[in-house]
Amino acid sequence: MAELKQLEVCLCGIPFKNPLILASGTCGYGLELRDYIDLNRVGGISVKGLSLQPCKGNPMPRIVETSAGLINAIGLENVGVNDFINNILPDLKKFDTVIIANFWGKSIEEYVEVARLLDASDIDMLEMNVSCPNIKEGGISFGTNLKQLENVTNSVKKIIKYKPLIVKLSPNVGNIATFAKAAENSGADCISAINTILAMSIDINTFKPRIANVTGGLSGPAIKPIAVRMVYEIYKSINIPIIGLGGIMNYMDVLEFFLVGSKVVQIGTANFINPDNALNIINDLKDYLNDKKIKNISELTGKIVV
Amino acid sequence: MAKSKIIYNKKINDNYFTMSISASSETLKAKPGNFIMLKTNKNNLVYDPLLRRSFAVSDIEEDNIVITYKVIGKGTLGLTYLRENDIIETSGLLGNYFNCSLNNKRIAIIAGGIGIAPFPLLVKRLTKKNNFIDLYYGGKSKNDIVLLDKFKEVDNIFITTEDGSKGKKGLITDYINREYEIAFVCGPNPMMMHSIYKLNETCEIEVSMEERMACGIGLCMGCIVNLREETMKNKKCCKDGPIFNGRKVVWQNLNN
Ligand SMILES: Cc1cc2nc3c(=O)[nH]c(=O)nc-3n(C[C@H](O)[C@H](O)[C@H](O)COP(=O)(O)OP(=O)(O)OC[C@H]3O[C@@H](n4cnc5c(N)ncnc54)[C@H](O)[C@@H]3O)c2cc1C
Ligand SMILES: Cc1cc2nc3c(=O)[nH]c(=O)nc-3n(C[C@H](O)[C@H](O)[C@H](O)COP(=O)(O)O)c2cc1C
Ligand code: FES
Repeated sequence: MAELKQLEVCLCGIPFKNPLILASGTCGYGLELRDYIDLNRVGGISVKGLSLQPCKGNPMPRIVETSAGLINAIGLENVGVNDFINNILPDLKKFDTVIIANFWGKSIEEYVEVARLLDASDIDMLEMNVSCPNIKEGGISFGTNLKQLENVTNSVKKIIKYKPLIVKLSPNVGNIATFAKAAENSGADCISAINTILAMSIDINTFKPRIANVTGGLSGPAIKPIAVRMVYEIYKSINIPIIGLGGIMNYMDVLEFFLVGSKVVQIGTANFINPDNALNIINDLKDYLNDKKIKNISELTGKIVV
Repeated sequence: MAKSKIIYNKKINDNYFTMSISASSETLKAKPGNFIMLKTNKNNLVYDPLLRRSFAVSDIEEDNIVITYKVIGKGTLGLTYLRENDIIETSGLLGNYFNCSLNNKRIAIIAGGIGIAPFPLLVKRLTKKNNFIDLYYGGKSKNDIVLLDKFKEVDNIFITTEDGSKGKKGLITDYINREYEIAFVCGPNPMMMHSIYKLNETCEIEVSMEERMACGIGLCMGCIVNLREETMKNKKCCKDGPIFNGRKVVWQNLNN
């Protein structure tokens, strides 16, 4: 048990048995994974981004692999918030892990309405996706325009009574720290960063983009150094906790994110390669902490030496 | 994920290979149409290629699973470097499978190029049950026609190549003109779509779809196939497929 305690962390008043969360869009609604890993062993699960109405997503092809990365334009396909709350959440709640509801909207009213429904449900935390680069109608402007970000965060924060609000930032901006600061000032309880980086890949035989949406979001190890730099910049400018993510493949990557200021991390694309990755990382982190005689992983948050 | 040992990795011709890998008793229960995913580089810490690649179970030999693959890009190229006794990461069995509990049926098997991959195992399960089987097999050129020794027990084999270097010159779908009770189809999307137009209306059609996959287990929603049901439905090729009722697939929504 003493060993386990090394990985326990507390985020916005919510205890996590370990600081590894499965990232939104890379673990379905969690239940898809139950035949493959013991969900009770992961710190948390951030489910696929939910919207007010079910959403069919983008045309195919939606994904393409690039050097050490994956470009996706799924288009936020999801079952809709009501179906999630009524038909998926009850089964998900049977697992002993923190349930984070990732959500989005096409207008501030939609964001607010989805947030209201989720706040009244059995989930543990809300994660507001303001940064998905795939949806033509919205998303992008909320996350890349300071005024929009403030408006949506303020409006959502006002309606939420019970649950902490994480704002998940877009990396597709000039200075991400100013966006983090704006989210904090507008009431965000926590920041998660980063979402995918706007990207493109072309087939040189057909001259066509390799995904139907033309552009998509890049994830995976290719983006890790950028993500680490962004978390570093955010940490210096805000006081609320940070969930770091982007390209984490192993425990060493996790430690980098801690050192630049993350309190907790999320694992995304790595789940596709091997759903056991998160559990393997938890074991490797324990070994590292034992080796270095570190009592709790939180001691590493922000301990970068420059 | 499991670790498997390469038993052999043989070149068939410049582009096609057949590889046998050790398998668990669970994996050996593979049904025709099931697929597995392979991490195509030996070293799991190498991130390019990043994702696993999907391959149909082509055959089962003793305690090993055989796949047949065509070199397309970096992942399949990486497979060609594997040698006897090398270890690779595999996952699966994945996906659903062809209906192979058939007796006394008139069956068409229609393959385009590497689309032949799942059929040796299917034929093993269908022969000796009084089934009548025609194999239609098309390719761009003679190198695309492989594994013929695995189909000795079918009743007729029709072969076409686009350049005429083997079999008749032309497209394989041009030669489908008999009536069948069920057809199994695997190949490029346009070829599968045309097969459906050519087959008699009473014929059941099972197609094996190849969509790009990131996870193979229903996590990413990258592999969607649209089905025409009561309403248009998004299905996951990896979980709900890869075998679908060909008449329900909305071919227009697929790129190719
Ligand atoms: C269910 C299923 C069964 C398959 N069975 C076989 C088989 O038995 N033998 C065989 O040779 N091939 C099979 N394929 C296709 C095989 O997965 C691809 O040819 C292979 O992934 C190409 O990888 P690459 O790195 O060489 O090519 P790249 O072009 O470099 O691959 C880039 C990306 O595109 C994807 N991709 C490229 N071509 C295809 C394709 N045709 N289908 C799906 N994804 C593709 C890759 O997985 C990868 O993510 C199957 C595909 C599916 C979905
Ligand atoms: C296929 C796919 C779907 C995603 N869907 C969502 C989503 O619905 N909501 C969201 O906030 N982020 C989504 N993301 C972004 C991831 O949660 C994560 O921020 C990003 O992939 C970077 O982490 P990684 O490199 O570890 O994957 C998605 C990513 C991928 C690859
Ligand atoms: S490949 Fe990820 S859902 Fe099918």
